[in-house]
Amino acid sequence: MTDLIKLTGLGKAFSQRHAPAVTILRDINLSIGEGEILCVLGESGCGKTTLGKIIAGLSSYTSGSYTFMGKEVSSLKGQAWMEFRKGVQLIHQNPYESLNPALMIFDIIANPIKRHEKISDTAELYKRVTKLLEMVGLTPVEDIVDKYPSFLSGGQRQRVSIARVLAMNPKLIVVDEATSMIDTSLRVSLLTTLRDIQEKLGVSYFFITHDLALGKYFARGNKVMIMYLGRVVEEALTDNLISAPAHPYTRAVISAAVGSSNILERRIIAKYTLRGTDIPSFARIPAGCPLHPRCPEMIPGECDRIVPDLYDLGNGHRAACLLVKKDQI
Amino acid sequence: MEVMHTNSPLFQIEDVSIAYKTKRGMLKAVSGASVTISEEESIALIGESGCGKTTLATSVVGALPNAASITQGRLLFRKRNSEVVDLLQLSKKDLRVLLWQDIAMVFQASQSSFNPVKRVKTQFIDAVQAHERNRSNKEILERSSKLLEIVMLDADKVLNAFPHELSGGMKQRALLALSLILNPRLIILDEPTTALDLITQAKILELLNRLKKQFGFSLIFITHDLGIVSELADRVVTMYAGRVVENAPTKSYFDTPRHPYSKGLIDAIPRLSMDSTHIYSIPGTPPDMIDIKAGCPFAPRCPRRLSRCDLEMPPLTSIETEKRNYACWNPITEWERHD
Repeated sequence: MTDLIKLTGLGKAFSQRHAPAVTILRDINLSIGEGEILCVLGESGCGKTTLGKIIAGLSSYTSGSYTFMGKEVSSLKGQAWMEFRKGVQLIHQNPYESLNPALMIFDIIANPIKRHEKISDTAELYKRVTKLLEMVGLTPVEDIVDKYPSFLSGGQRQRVSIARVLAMNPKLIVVDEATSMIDTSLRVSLLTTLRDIQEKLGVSYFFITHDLALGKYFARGNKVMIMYLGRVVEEALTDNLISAPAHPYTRAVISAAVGSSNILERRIIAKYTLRGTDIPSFARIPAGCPLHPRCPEMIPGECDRIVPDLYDLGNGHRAACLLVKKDQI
Repeated sequence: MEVMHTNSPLFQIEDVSIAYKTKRGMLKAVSGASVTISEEESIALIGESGCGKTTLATSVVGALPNAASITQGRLLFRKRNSEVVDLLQLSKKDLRVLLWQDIAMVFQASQSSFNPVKRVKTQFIDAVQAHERNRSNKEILERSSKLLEIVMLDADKVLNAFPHELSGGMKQRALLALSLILNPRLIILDEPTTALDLITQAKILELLNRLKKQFGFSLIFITHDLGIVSELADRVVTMYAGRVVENAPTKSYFDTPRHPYSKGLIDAIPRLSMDSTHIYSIPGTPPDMIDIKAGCPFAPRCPRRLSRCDLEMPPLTSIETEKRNYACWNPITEWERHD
């Protein structure tokens, strides 16, 4: 399979006027093929949204390389840049803020088609909008097109966002916590719609979430990447990651997600917690492994000195931890 | 209006209805909700957005917006001297005395609950002195430090900090400490862990469980995350379209939900230990709360709907042996156990 996008050693630093630059992303390597899903998981402030913005072309990167269909994104200009921006679309987290309240649903979806495909015939536009709304399950279409976003529920609004994004026939959709503001009962049907669209159109997803179970469900059969303080700490196929996590941070996340009562998950796993509670700030990232001040298995003299690479565990499973390296020798 | 009663539960929400005035007409946010909470019990209020759970909880502390009015019902609270009062009948002044000292609420937007221009310690001192005038600053700060240490914060640092210097998780824990400062007997938490990441969330839940044992307060918390419910609640109250549709002990709620909506909610959560590739989702969307139709509000989305459901709202049926009740004409009686 050819890579749709490929990030190699990508980094992002924000310069500040009176202080040294703050590095938000470090050495990110990933690729997404056509029709693939990559799920990114991490705590708030780990850089996952910044990464999503870079992939969608809304933010620049300061080091490394990002190629879209083989071409370096930072060197794209004119028509090629337009094609890239159309090819990678973003669904925002908050559907209450991402739709223009003064436009009717019809215009929200038709405007990008008008702009990019230079279609102005209303009948033709109506046909296109109808098709898109049907695809995202907003039927009957006649009831929806002349409404304003304020008439719709959060779930319906998020479906409008999806329809708007699909109007551009994207190859990759960045889904940034798109279901976190949606009620539980509607969340799953929204994800099902996204998966159906993938089957029909063969789009790829870059799925950002902080909900492990949700990520596992959506990206089943695909890869998950765990981020901590702007680095990838572990990546694996969803099932491998849940059943055999290698990095202490991943283990703590899974332990927290399973919880200590067996009412919901119906199984109890050994509790695994990190020391301390607070994530260090990006301005003061610890030397060595960024997790070492919180890691219960920290090796003094090594973890606080050496930045671990991603060590290969086979079957695409990689973890950035010296313990993994030790096990291999 | 005040009744003496020694054996009554700590707090009783009795047949409360709340309506909002809107341009399109009256919106019945809560219709005839009844919930009883005992000493040291912890109750989860769950349901979709717009089901009235926040409205109901906010009515307890008298902080409803102006457009809202409580059209019927009583909020019976048993004071420390065993006297039972209806919070709705109390004068503003009397209610203010009771709040914080007996009933504390931590709002959903807890990240912005602190006054941004005052140091955290000033806010602790202000809260206490509003109730206990003759406490010295030193005394208050000592107690504050103790509480902040219990919630695992560096007391000196936090007390002298401005709110913006604290992270989300720290603010949430500082607020918890602040809500505990007058030793209330009932704490209401609106979405205590949203906006917090998974690991911090797990820590806060663990902490709440510990504090509950240590201080012996009762807890009402609002959430839409069933994961939190299973960790923290003794009892689950499910609301749908302004009505309480099921009220059951946590374990039986998850094992054997009676109301189809409860079952739908439980089945709709993705779990880690689940291999199935398909998760059930409740079809349709919640009803319009202004133009209320007759019958059960869940009927249009319900897989177990009978013709009767469209005509008549089911009353609450109690099963005394299981300490639960539900409002459904066709409740689930046999379960496909999902383990």
